[in-house]
Amino acid sequence: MTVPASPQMSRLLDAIGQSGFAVPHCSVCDRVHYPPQSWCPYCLSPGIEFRPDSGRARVLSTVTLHRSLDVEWESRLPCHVACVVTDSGLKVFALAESEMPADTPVILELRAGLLHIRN
Amino acid sequence: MAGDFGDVVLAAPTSFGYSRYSTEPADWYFAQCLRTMLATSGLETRHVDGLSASSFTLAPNPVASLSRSLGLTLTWLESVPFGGASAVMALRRAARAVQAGDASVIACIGADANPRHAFKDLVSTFAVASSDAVYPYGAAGPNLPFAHVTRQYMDATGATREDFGRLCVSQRFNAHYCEHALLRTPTTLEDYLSAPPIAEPFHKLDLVMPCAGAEGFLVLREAHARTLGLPYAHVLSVVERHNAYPEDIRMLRGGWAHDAARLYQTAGQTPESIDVVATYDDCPAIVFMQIEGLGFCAPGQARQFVSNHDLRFNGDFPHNTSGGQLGCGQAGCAGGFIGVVEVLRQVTHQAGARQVVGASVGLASGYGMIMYDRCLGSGAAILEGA
Repeated sequence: MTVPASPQMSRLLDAIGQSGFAVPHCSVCDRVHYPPQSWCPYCLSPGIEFRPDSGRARVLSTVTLHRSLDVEWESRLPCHVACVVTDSGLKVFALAESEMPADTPVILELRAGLLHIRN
Repeated sequence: MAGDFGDVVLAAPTSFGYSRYSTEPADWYFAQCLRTMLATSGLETRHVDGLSASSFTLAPNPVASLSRSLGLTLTWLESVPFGGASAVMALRRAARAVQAGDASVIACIGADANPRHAFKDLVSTFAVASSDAVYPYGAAGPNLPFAHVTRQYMDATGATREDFGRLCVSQRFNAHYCEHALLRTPTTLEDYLSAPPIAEPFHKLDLVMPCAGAEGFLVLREAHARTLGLPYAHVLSVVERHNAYPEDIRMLRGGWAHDAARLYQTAGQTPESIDVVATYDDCPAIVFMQIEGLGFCAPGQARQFVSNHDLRFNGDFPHNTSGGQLGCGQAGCAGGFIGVVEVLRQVTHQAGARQVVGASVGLASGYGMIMYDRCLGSGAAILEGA
């Protein structure tokens, strides 16, 4: 059972789908954040827009999942989930095809509603 | 007496009802834990005028419902649902309330039910940030972000699975001597290393087992505890922090590093003067960060510290002497009470077969409330037996 995305996450995923990659951006203080909120966690402004982003990132770590709480994932195990930091400074979890060493440069992209990384 | 809580003391350390799964609701655990505490202390419900409740599974009942369902008329009631930091934060609030005269006897209880299949519901909807940006990536619950924290800590410090294994094996040894622990069978380092992978680098024996149960203690004035004939401990110092070091992309430290100096200074203690330690142990790397942040060794040196010390209750660094959550199980917010309750037992010499000889001053730290990539709450308390 998938937990429905929040309205702000749904909007972000729509923006990513349209532009290749995008990040929540505060039009008042010019900072970005993730996961998405409808206000800025730095200046509290509600003026959040979705700014196109290169999606370029580097790997912080990769984890290999062998168990899941959700039966829908069982056929996909084991799977790899990376933790990356984007060039714009955001920490993001995304699916990976394999274990990747720290500092590997990657690109974030959206596939079937989930973020993935590729070389 | 050092410290800034005057004549406020803790008494009646209580653990109740540990079981893998529950058929009773959370408020049943509150009731039975309180019943046990009252029987221990010779008090009746009419003597309790304060309640601090920590729970994830009390809904649909609100915390306010507990006054009626437990038969209490209260002048002070707080919900302190801070997961693994619940007990440290509960005792801080309760001790201040007793010190200020807002209540005279406060029962601090962490209790959670664990019906079959409920754990998934709890973690999948724990917070919007996690539901949006963590859970969709494999539905692994807190294991996913903490596996990443662990991998990044291993890369940064050189800590290995063997280092974590020493910690886990010592706690299962301690659990063997704890009558309420659910996992009392000792394990070996070979068992640890050969356990099946769950969320690599995590394997089965790194992880705590969700369960049901309750833990609690009473907060009251010293003269009152003496009148009741209760063993008690003074609260020397408590620190608390939320969202420490948000600028750290990789979590290699927690709020303890920020607040340890004040913790010890207020208590008039040093790391060397602490006789028994409890850390929050739902992830060995986080225990290592607590050992470092609380000043028992330098940052990044916990692997050497754990290799050079014996963490069993009869060793030279008695740590998580009831087995912690790795031995007892993780009963939701009650898991966040294990450390304070066990340290209270130890410094009041009520720990039975696992008693640390001569324990007088103990430290319990907490860590709780996973939001996205890390827990937001941290804290620690130093208690001294009377």
